[in-house]
Amino acid sequence: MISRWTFTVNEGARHAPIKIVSQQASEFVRQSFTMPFGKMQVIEQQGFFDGSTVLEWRYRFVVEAEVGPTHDPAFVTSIERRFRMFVERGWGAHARCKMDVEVLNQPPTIFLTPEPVSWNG
Amino acid sequence: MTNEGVDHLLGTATAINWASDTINARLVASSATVNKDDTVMTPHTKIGTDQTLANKTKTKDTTNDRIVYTNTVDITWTAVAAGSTIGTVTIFKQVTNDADSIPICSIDVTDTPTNGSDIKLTPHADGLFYLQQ
Repeated sequence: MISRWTFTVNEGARHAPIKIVSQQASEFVRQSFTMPFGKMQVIEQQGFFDGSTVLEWRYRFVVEAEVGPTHDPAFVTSIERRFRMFVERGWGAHARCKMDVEVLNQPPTIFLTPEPVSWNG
Repeated sequence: MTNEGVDHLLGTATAINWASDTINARLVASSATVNKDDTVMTPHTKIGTDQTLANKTKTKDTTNDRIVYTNTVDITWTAVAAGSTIGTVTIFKQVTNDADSIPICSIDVTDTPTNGSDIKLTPHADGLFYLQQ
């Protein structure tokens, strides 16, 4: 199973250097997806300063990994909790964050075809 | 089939009404120890989410002298988390919790490791279970 994980941080109108933000978030995600949870591939890494309207720093990190909500729900819960703690510790309570997990390739359906059971009266 | 389940089906104990009661199917771990003397669902270690049978039928088969209980469509468990092994499927009357729900029968299936996929049980042409003279 391959799942796409999207981590988004919106740290508000603080003028932190985006390079540092990116490095921190990147390191967090890399450390989170370690063996034995399978291969992990970074497919998008984007940090930008939205100076046009709200003056916010945003950061998004997308990975695809061989682990997901139907493979290991406890891992998903653990990552989300650690991600929120990481964001709060790194950027303060004003920062907002979001984690989404999307299953990209569900394994094929398994069919069970049992014989009936009976009671003989 | 469990003695308790048959007792209720026959109405000797509080009758099970196959048509109107909530009848569920549960994927049970191969490691669970279940037997025909179980009176509640506690020993039937659950995998995934119990599924309520929405297309139940009970038919009188005069050719084979049976009362056949089944569900007319496949029973599907969606995206069952990986890491468990299914050993049996239990059909039971749901009451409020495992401690008071009544196992009717335990259907043996080939030990099946879960991998995150959907699991689909196709009821046999002769039913999920039957009572036979």
